[in-house]
Amino acid sequence: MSIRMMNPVARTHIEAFHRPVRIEELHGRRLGFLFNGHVSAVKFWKQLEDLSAELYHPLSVTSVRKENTFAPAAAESEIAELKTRTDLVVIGVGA
Amino acid sequence: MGYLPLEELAKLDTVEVGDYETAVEEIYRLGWTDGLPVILPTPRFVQRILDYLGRDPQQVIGIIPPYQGVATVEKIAVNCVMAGCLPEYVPVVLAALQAMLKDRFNLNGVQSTTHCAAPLLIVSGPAVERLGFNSRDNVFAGGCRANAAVGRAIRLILWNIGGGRAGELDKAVLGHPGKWSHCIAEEKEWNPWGPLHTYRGFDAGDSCVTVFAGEAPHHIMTGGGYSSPDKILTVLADSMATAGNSTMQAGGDMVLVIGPLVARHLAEKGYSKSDVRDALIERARKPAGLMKANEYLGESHPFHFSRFTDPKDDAALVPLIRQPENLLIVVAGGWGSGSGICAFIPGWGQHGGFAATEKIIFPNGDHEKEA
Repeated sequence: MSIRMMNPVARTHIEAFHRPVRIEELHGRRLGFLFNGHVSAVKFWKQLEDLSAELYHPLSVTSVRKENTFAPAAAESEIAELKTRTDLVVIGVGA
Repeated sequence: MGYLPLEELAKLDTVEVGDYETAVEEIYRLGWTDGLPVILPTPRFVQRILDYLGRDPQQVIGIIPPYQGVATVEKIAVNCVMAGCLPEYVPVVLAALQAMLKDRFNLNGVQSTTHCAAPLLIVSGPAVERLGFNSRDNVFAGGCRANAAVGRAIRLILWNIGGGRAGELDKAVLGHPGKWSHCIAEEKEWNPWGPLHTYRGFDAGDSCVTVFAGEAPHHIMTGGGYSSPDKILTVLADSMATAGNSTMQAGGDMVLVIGPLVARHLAEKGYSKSDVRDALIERARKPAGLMKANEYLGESHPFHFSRFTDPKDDAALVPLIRQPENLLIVVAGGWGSGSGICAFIPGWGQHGGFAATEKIIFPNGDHEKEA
């Protein structure tokens, strides 16, 4: 007699995502940085920001540091600020 | 660790094998368990839970991060079977899951952090006795099906639906044994201060589960059977405020489990739960000079102790308990000897894993509020 078992693994939830239009040229655009604040990347992130400004001459630079390194950026404050003040945002993934 | 991809595994509906031995090995091959053996999730077992719940099997309870798995009633039931749950336990699992999906718990972070934090479930109220949860001797250890199975069900759900698989999306450097199963119950009869959930906005007659992400429990010998409240509180405070725990560094919630002997002793000397908390807020502190030795957060971090204490003053005291509500006091454990045993569980810090409480809803009014 065979044994049938039900699968405990679930399908993943997929949200619709519309890929934004790619910006071809950074020069003269409003550049943003969203840094998670992790101590291991403090020096790297500062250099990345400085170098990006030096190389690409953006119109402005807005740096936002997340209040909580380990949680998604706050939609009403952190994301909202970047949304209104930038054309492109650089983010980091992982610690 | 060579797991099969979840995307592929999710496509299976059922798996059919020839015999019991093959079934056991197939479960391991498919990665349906984190290493411990499980009960075979046969359709009959699963149906028993679905019949008890009386809910649509395809009803979505939530999306479990970080894999973003869709937790339907049926998938939860399958994992509960594997964990050894009786159908009556499943409402506790559902309530715990809903608590863990609250923003304050930050389940995505808890599941994937390098920290060892694991969800701890604390069951309180009439359900403790009715379902046979253990709130006494060996409360964190074995010997009780309800504690073991409910904690285990949560882990398997996080594993199979949430994709928190060790070495993949779960990046814990060390983890701790509570990641197998981590569920306790609060003592009622020997608790002089009333149930935990009444301090969190629920009625005393409700049955609730509180979830919190924390480290493994650290045993504290307070000498509570012999010594004064002043000495007990001093020992507790010193054992809680240690330079390496995340809560000391980064704030957030923490749990202090007070053994019934110590709880009674303190209560008899006139201490309410709030008095105990206030005394610990005052005493559980470490000098800034010592805290500076630990640079894991960095002074520029928003959660760093320098937000509360002048880091230039080495003698200034850094508080462990940043906000009164950060300390959860639970009465549990056996009576023991005069050594007055308690346990402290630091959290993950202000990063997440904050305690969240949910009322347990039983189907058809079963186990309704105690009169």
